[in-house]
Amino acid sequence: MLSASALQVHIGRRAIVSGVLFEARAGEITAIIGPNGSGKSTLLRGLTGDLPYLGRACLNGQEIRDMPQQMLARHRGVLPQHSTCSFPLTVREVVRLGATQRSHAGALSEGELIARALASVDLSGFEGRPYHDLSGGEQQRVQLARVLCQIFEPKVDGAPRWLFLDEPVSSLDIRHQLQVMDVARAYAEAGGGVVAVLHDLNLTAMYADQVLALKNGRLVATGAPDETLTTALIRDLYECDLSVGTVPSGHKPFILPHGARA
Amino acid sequence: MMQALETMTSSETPTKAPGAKSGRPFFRWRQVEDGDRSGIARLVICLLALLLAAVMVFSLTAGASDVGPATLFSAWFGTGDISMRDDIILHSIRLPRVVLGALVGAGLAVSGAVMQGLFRNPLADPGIIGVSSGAGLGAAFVIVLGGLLPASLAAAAGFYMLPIAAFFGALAVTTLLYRIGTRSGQTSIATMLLAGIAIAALSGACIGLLVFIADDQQLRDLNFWGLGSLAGANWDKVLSAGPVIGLVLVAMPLLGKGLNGLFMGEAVAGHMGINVQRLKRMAIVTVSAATGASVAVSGGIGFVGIVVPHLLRLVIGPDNRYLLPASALLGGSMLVLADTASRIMVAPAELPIGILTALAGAPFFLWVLLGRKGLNTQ
Repeated sequence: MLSASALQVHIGRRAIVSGVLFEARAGEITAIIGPNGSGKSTLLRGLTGDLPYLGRACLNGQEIRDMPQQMLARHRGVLPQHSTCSFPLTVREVVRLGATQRSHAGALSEGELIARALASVDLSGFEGRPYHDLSGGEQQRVQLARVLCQIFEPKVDGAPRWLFLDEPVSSLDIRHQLQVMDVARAYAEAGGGVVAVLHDLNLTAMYADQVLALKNGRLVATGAPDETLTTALIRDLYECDLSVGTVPSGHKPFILPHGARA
Repeated sequence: MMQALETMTSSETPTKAPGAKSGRPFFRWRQVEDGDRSGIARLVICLLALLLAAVMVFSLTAGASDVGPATLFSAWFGTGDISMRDDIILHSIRLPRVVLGALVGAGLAVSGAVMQGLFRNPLADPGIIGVSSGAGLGAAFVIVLGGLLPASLAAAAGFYMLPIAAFFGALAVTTLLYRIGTRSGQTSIATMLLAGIAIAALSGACIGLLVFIADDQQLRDLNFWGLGSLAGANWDKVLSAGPVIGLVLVAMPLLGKGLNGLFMGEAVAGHMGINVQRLKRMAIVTVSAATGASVAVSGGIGFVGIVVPHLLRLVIGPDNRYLLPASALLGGSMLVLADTASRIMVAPAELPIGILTALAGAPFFLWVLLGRKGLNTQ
């Protein structure tokens, strides 16, 4: 369980996000949506322990700011929006960073772990390739494999582990967007928790179990996609003209944009 | 896609993947194709250890006098019956110089490698960005103004005074550079190099002031920093720099894994459970200690810290767990070799070794600078 109440996250002295109250459950994907500058990434960085916060934020019952870094690393992995690497590493060496730094040695050997993590992001056989020669989308998936290595087993000591994704699909083509979201869903179905900042509302509708909608640093709506992704709410949230329909099979909402004018 | 998901979530016993830990051979070419360079790295470290030993023995037998391999053999393995002159040349002149060369080379190369890891920047080098000149300022301060210190303090510090002062000089510069050059965990090459130039100029000006007020004997001592040389090597210098550089070499395994975590930046290192603040403090102290001790006994020998780690990265990759020890070994070998060359090229005179390392290192630095396209170092 990941829970927050009266959460206020700061950058410097300024509170970017405040008054946040929600609960995210393991086994589900929780999506954070909202316009640019609404505080999505800031909220995520508060929950990952990167930014100081006021109020309460608990990961598996423990206050996040009181958890030592080693313990945090054992319970959650973070995929940042951008990753730069200053030395010429191979793909295997990048992914291995997640494997060698993890405190919890699982049943898998390092080589098997790396192979499986790469397979899950559709990059089997890329081990020997120089990281810098890959496309942006491939690099992003290598980073996801690195994070998966760190928290490969979705549970540790009976408690769920958490996967925090900051715009995980922003540089991917549609097939790999779906694939990365499938990895996230598989992680949740295996008992882990996933919290993702998403820009793509249709992916949100497809994959999220819970949606947190942020605007100007405030939570304006929380709930299942069919409750939160409504024409009125999304129009108001992004201040543009769009309509929300329903996919005939499965009753999932879909979003059709019309124009920038609200 | 479904298959990918299955491999991720399935709990059945997996088939053996390449590079599995059990029964892994020491080295296979296959590992390199897999992107796993740890095998070749271990092999290279073994070879470099042999190289260092060979270079040190060779250097003992080379020089202006006629003391050669035969004399060395009879001194070490034979009857030990050699003339006092030969004994002095071997054990009081050449041996401390060879040992000091290995120590200084190792210290400078490890400083460079650690600094590059810390700044996430393959162009960082203690000589180029002003850390050496900071250390030189510390040392010059002690030489010129050391007499003003309380006698009891000077007596207590003994011949460690110079390395200690150089250490604090280097520490001040490294800390300052890190503060200036790093914004939100990202170090900009331009800021770092420019700040380094400014700091080196400032240190140079302060050393100039000290030169201005120094007396003749102090001037002679000071002059030796400008050149960079191992010519003044003796056992006292080995004893004053040895323990400091030795400690740095012992600290390497602690740093290697953490510096690897910094490959993707400070935030990612933190996410992976690394105590970034502690790691940075440790790296800065290590760099300052190694550079300070090296500069205190040998002056400003440049470019070892950039050439050695860069060459090694081409072969064994950037993994600091292997890069740091390999840098120590290759740095030691290269400096002892360069020193031997400087002794025999114009014998019986000597070229200052700093000239040799700069002649080779400066073009190398330019080559690295031009060839770093594609790496995200701004």
